[in-house]
Amino acid sequence: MDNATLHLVQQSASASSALRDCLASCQPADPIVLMHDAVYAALYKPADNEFYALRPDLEERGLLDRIDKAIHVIDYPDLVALSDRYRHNLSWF
Amino acid sequence: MASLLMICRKAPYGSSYAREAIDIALAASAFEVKVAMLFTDDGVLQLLKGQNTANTGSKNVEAVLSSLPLYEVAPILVNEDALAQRNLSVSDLNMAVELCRAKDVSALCAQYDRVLTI
Amino acid sequence: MASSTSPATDDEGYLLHLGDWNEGVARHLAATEDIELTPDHWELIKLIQDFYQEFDHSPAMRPLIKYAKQKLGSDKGSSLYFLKLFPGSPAKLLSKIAGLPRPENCL
Repeated sequence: MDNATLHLVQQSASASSALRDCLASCQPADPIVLMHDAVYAALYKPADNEFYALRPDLEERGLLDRIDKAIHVIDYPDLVALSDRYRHNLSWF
Repeated sequence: MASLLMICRKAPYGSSYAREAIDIALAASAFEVKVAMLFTDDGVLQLLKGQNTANTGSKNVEAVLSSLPLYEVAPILVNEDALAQRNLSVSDLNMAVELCRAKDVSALCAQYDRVLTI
Repeated sequence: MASSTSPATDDEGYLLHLGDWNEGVARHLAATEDIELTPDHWELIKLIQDFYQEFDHSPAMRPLIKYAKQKLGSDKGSSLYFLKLFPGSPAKLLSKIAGLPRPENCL
């Protein structure tokens, strides 16, 4: 079990403070998952943390070929595995 | 002929705003209203090329929007600053649009009988 | 066979499941509207199905006509032509017979 916290960001970075608030309070070692409208933030890498983005949400929005190469694309089973690996999961709506 | 400017500010799929705006635009056009649309802020994301809803069951916002010229919805305006802020350019969009800036919005609104922000 | 030509429809006669559509179903749906399908009818059925495929919704009358003008030329891209083949409400009738949902923005 990894003691870092996994952050799940769900809302568009430009329409909501979810990503900004997450980045303000997370640790450099914390991984961040972009899902739902938050996947638009994968167009640029928002911080130095490890970033993941959910493939089905990228595909639906036409982003799969556009995102920053440093961001890992994951599917739902990967998300489950990630959630399992970290002691705490924090959702940002 | 009454005229309506719709200002679309929301990303598609995460909420139903985009779908509802499109429904209003198409319905208004069926009622002989002259409809124009301005995509700004997260609304520019509705026009992104390559949306694929085959696995999600949502209506494809890109596909429906690309029918706007057939409904004679014009002009289709895009705030170019909103595009740039999202690392995007017109080549990422699925149709020909006219570019404008945030400061043009009030002058634009003045040209229409009704303005609806969604 | 009645079972293959009478799939489930809603109160207004639109197919509940788009996957149920085939040419036999189309003939059955047309017959319920007193229309016998000729090659001209089939051409427009194909046209509205193409529209649905491309734009992910059933069209209202005006965009459908405009689309027909682009694809089939101005002789067939006219409401008169559509009204002759699908009298009354061509966009609604065509959607129904082509197995598509009812047009949402059609008067």
